[in-house]
Amino acid sequence: MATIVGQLRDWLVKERPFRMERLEKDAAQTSDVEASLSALPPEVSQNLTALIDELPSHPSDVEAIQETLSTAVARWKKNPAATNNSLTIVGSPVSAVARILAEGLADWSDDNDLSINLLDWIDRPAEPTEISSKLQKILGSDDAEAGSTMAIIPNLSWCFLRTAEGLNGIDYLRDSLLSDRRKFWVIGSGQVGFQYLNCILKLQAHCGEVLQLPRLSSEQLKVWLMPIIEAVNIRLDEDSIQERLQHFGAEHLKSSSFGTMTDLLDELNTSFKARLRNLKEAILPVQQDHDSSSNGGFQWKDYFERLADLSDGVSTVALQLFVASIYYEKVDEDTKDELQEAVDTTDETLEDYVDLDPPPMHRIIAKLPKLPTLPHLEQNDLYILYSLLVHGDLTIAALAQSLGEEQQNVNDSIQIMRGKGVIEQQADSIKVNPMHYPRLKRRLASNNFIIDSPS
Amino acid sequence: MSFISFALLAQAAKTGVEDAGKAASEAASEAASEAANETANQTRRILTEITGFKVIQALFILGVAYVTIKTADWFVIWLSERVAKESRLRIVQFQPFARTFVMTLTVITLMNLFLKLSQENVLAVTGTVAVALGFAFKDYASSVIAGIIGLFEAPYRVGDRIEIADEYGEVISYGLRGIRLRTPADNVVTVPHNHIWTNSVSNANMGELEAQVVTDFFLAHEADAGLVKQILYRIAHTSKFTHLGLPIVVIMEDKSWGSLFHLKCYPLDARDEFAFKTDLTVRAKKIFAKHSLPYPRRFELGADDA
Repeated sequence: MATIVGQLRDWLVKERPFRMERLEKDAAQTSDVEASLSALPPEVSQNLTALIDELPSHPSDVEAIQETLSTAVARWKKNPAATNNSLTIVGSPVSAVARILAEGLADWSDDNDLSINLLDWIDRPAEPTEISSKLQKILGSDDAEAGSTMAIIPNLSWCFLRTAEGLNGIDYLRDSLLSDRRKFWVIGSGQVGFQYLNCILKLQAHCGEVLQLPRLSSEQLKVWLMPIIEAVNIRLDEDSIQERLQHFGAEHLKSSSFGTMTDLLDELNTSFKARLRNLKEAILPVQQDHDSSSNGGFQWKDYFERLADLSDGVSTVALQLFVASIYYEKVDEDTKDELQEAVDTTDETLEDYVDLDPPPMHRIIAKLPKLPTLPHLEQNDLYILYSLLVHGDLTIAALAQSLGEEQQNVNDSIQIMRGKGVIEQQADSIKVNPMHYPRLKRRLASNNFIIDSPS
Repeated sequence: MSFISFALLAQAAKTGVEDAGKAASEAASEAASEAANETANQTRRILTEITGFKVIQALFILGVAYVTIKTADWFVIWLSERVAKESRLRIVQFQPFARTFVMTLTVITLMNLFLKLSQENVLAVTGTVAVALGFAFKDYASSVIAGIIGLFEAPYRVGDRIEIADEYGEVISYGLRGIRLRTPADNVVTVPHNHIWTNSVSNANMGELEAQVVTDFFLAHEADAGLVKQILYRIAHTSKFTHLGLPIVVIMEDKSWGSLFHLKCYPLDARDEFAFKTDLTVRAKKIFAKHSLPYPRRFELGADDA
């Protein structure tokens, strides 16, 4: 079992890099992430990309999966006929839940002697009417002994398409989950897709246990990303951050576009949360670490608190915002003197602070992370984006089928939104740009779409 | 003697009557003249001197009012399209209030410009205007008053989908005299407000964003009712327009010619009503065809149920 699950992650990443890799973007459009990476020297950029690609899923996600799975499987093994025989892991629709699930199962499977019945798909079948029969062929084998097999569906969104006949696969799974108790089912799903299926088919009633992957806190993000920051030697640009924070409201009020009004509200909300936290810390005697903002300056702690607020605790979004906030800056003489003074107070050398070769001196800095402005979207665009979030990713043909529209018309809208940076495309496959997800989610929720209410 | 006396008396009487008639005529003429003078004086008292400058001022005020109304209309619509959909209709409701406010302010300013608005004069003008409106513009006045009452009673609001005066459509504008409806055929129909005094108004959404859409499907008796019901639910669940947070219901009626299925559900945006209905019908027909579900044959349609 360990071999199969251990290979699952690598296989998924190799077969579906566009969906599985963290920084895989639309090659035809320049995103903030790519702009940030391309501004770095090639060796730094490659090093950073490699470090991010190698970054395992957040330990809190992996631990949550393993703990819940161990408890659920132990209960099921004791009494396969009477207890819940499934665990559904629900993650953000812009995160690769299949990859998180594979990483969670890889270590866990070493201690278990269950045989694996893996749904080895990397995409949904092109013809939605065939989903049910194909699922039955792979998952419906009768030779399993009670209590000995685990059926793994890495991504539930590959098992349905939102069309009249595209839900037959879910009907099959819904019936199998409760009836086929010889197997333990582990299912990965995007949150929007699961909410949709739950709303129309009451899927949760058939799933035994549902684990919603937790929002990552600022502290968890810091623990997760600090090794990269230290490895690439990224410094926080406190001055520009302070300046930007002070002038943020004025900048946005001067601007006339409505998109920036929404930005302003979001920014005010984020600033308010930060001030509330600072006030709470000032009133309540909490233990301050050496990196706290007690000196009034903007520190890594504040940076990660802001990152957690902006990303809604979604790892994929946080990671992309983090990369987009990195700049490569030339160090002028004044800054060099200031740096020297700072270096003198520590055990480090100036070379640790800045890149001395080749001259002139440069340093890699992190500026204030910010969400990109959500462009103006028509009602029809919202239908398309919601469909993409329900399915995670889709081909244009499948999207057109799901919307009941002509493929050409859908493609026109897709290309316009792709130009605005809301949608990313590779070959025929399209998905929502994760950096737009937090604002898009709030926008959809306030427009009657079934999606998590604004946080 | 007596004859002479009688003749004299008669002559005197005739002269007296003629004098009296003349006097009465003169008195009437005087009274009319006085009344005319009085009216002229009253008019003089009420009206200020009309100068070219005042006319220019009045034209300027009218221009400003027009521009303000158009700007307010544009701003309200612009804002309503950019806020969260759930707040759209609430924002749009400011449009008639803004229009009425600007128009009232304009009328008062113009009256102030051309009339000396003392307490007596206001009463005199009001009385005169009331009489004039009562006879010449009674329907117009009735519509204006109904419009003002309608602002508060709200039998319809901008954005509502209503059926009024044999027309169905979305209220796109709320004017001083009437409303404008956009029908499914994209015609704009103007309906005066005074329609609400004596006629019914059917409002599908009453200021809410959601308006139920009922789509009818006609099938033959042989069609498997269970399968049809299942297909219709699935069609509604998978339409991009469907508001999944609101109930979806399929109701069936058995008719002499076949079975009538009503699919009742809500679109995410009431403005998509007709596109929603089309989407449901097109996709349902495709699945019906796949399952070879029979339609009622034309000659079987009974006159009572058709």
